[in-house]
Amino acid sequence: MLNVSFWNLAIVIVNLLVLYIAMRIFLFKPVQKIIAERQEEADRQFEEAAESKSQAENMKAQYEQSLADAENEKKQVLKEARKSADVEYQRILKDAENAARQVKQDAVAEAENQKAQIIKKAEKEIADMVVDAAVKVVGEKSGAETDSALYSKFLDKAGDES
Amino acid sequence: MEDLAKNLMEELECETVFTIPVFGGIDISESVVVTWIIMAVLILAAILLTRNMKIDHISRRQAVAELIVTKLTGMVEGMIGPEGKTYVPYLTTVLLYIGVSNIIGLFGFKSPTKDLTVTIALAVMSIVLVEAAGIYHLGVKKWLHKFVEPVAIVTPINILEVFTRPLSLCMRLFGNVLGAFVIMELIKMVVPFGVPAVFSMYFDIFDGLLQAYVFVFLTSLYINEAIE
Repeated sequence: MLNVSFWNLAIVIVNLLVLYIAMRIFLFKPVQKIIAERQEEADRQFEEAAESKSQAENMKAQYEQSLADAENEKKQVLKEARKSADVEYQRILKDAENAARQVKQDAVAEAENQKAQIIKKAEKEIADMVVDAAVKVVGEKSGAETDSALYSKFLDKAGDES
Repeated sequence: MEDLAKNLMEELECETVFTIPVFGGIDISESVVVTWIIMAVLILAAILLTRNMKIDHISRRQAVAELIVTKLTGMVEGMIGPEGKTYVPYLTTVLLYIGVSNIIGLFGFKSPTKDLTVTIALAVMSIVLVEAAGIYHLGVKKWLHKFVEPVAIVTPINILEVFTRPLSLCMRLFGNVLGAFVIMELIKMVVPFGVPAVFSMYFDIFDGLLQAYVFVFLTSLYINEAIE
């Protein structure tokens, strides 16, 4: 109990140092290593989660962007279509107007032509009637009498005719 | 009554188990042999507990190992503070060793801490560690200057502390274990059945673990003081 020997003291100290080193190697190091590894793993997983989250957000932003682009494109296309339709409409209208004017001109020309023909025909008939009347009057009488008869006959004929 | 005294003395006497025939014969005492047994048990347990550890889906064995290590090192770290992290494994080892030594009496072995040689060894190692930590962290000049702080007149007391501290550490541990043992023996003499078990809970288990804690706590306190 109370007898302290130097050798035993030295042996106990060596024992304790050996125990300390052994515990370091077999207990503290492996456990601390595994805990550190687990911490690392957890950190890595958190990092991955954050990364995939930011990726998803990026993708979402891209989708929104492309949606907005599509909307813009749609508007653009519609605008262009409306514009070209307008131009077409104007052209068709113009064509129609031209065609109508042409038809009208043609009709007027035709009418003029017919009118001229009718007048010509009427003139010719009048001349014929005059000649006719003249032949008749000349055949019946002479002198002033003839003239007046001729005239009234013409008038009669003309009145009948018109 | 004389029988009792004789029995007690026999129990307390640390017998020489065998002699190594070198340097004129080294007597190996019982406490050294029991220390070897404790070392073997602790190292085997450590190897068994930490075999093929994994990061996830851990076995119950690994959970136990992690619990022991994190709780004990956490406790020691709480005592010594973040600056003394280097000394945590040693202090935890000492905690385990003294704790097991104090309760190994329950298994029929003679507690090594009942031998003054072992407690002196522990105390010497503690004071060497404390002073070495002071020199390592502060440098020789500052370490020497610590002896004249806070005023020069206390220098003798500071020097004396280098010896009284390990002495108190060693004697506290030895005295507690010895006292607990003697009281337990006396109780066993008076009431041989039932009652000793109840007292054993206190004297062997609680006091044994408490003394291990106190020893490590004081050592870490000294280290903490030395490295500031």
